[in-house]
Amino acid sequence: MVVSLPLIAAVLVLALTMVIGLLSARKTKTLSDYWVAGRSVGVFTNASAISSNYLSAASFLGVAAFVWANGFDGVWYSTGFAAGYILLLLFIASPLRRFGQYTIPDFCQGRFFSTRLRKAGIAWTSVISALYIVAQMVGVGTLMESVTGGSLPWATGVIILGGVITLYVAFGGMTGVTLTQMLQFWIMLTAMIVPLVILLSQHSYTELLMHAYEDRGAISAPAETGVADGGTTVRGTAAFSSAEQERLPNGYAWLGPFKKWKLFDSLSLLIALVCGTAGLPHILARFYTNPDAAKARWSTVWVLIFIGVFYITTPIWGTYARMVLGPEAVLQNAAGQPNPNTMMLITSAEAGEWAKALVAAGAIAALLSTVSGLLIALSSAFAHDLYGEILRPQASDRQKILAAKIAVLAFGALAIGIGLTFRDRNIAWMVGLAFSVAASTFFPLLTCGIWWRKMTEQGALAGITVGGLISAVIVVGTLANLWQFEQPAVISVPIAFLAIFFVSRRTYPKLSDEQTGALSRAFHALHTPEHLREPDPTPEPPQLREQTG
Amino acid sequence: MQGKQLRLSAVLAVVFLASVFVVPFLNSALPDAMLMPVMGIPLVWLWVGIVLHLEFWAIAIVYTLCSNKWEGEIGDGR
Repeated sequence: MVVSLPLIAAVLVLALTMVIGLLSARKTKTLSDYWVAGRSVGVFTNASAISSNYLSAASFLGVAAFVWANGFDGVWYSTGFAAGYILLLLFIASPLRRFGQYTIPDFCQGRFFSTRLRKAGIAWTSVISALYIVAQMVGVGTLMESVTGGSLPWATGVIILGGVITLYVAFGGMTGVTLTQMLQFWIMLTAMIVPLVILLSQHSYTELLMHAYEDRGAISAPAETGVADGGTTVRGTAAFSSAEQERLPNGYAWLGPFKKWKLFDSLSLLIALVCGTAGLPHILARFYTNPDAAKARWSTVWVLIFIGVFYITTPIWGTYARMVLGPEAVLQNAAGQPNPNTMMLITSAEAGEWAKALVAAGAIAALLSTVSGLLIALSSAFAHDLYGEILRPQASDRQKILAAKIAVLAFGALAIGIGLTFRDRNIAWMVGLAFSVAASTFFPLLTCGIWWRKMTEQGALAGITVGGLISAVIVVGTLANLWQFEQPAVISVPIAFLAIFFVSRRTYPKLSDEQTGALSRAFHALHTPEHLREPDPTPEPPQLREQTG
Repeated sequence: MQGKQLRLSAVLAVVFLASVFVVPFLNSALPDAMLMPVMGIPLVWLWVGIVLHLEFWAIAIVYTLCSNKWEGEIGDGR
């Protein structure tokens, strides 16, 4: 294997993460430490960790590549990914934190007093997290190949990185994940900004855009060869079809909208990004780690600033790639997939090995942070919600922590195994579907459940079932070429809300005094500031214990 | 208190959703105007890529300051 600066940077990030993750295992003593880091995470630390949890390699490398390939349509990703945090802040973050507990299925049971709804919550948490984690695992192998210049076999990369993540998550729990994610975020942000500042000292951004304004003819930039790690497709070769040429319009057309997404698809994509972000279980779980609701709010404000700074740079990277590397180098292969190594290509062509090493470190950090957050969310659905609350609620904390560690190890191994089998398959739809399902299930459930007293268990079940299934059916139908409709959220999200509304209206019962009291306690826990109530706000009405016991 | 917070959230959500979702319609209706350069950057890139982020920060800070202030006032008995 050739020892290069990018490889050294990747190994350093891996080693540092492993050490911090395993050292924090000493601090993980209670169940609360394991799942919510003892609810003691400060604003700055949690904001860094949430940002890192959210910014996957798809954000780190993929958004710039999408802008490179599709111009303005890619800019939507840079804004839509951040926009979801506004709805999360306005309607969900602080009440959810106040409600206490550990997971979204906990909210399902605590708010609606329904084990059935907890089970549905476990199912949808698993679907969303599994879709997301498999896509990340496939990306792990590709990234490691790229970082090592192809000398590390794809499968070995998946096993090494997947193994490291699984180990430190299993032993460090949320406490370990929090510390490593904070570190990973700052590595990512540095990797995103420092090389860009150096590059922009060579070409100003407006100068780059002027080239696009002036280019109103056919493709005018010269085809690039020899700069791509993975081999580029060059105009004039057999692999470069006319359909692909349409995807590479002249510079002026590239600046404008509707290359990739038409009006209806643009709206649907925005709904999926905005509502989906506010319904992702691995993101929502992080808000339980703040000490109180006020800190959860400030954490969200800082997340918006941190990821805003991050995403503002992605269109600049994409523009730089288009104008300096040329439009054609974006096509990685004959299938016309955008080359994910945008930043690696630019830095190696324009800024040298050290900048490429920084980008490699950032990309590894992005993968580690997202997969670790997903692994915690996926494991908590089984070890906490299924085992600890439904199958064996009488188990001791020690037994529950052991179950958690076993769940992380099992799901880590499973994710590695599935990731290995998905090589060379189209996985781009997986993250998109995860966002659509989250937007159509947990987002309506949480917004209505937190703010509407008359929402019923049946309404909640109807909403998340109908919304989630419609999303899945539309995407699967598109993959099977039954129809062409890549963005289901514009249909599935409103239908989920309507199902919640109409079914709740039809099933809202006449409440007994005891039921009214239980509902009031749940709303008290959601909306009353911490300093105005008893230390433990978690509502435990009689029905809850009867059903779980 | 809960109603007051919900009203603030709803108002800010309307501002947020309008400023985001109007863009695809403007792109469709006024394509050339949306590509007009402002400080060398196409208007729509500037709006979506930078101005919207600044708006998100402003909405988030306004909401958080107001909510925390109201909750503090309740605790103080004001």
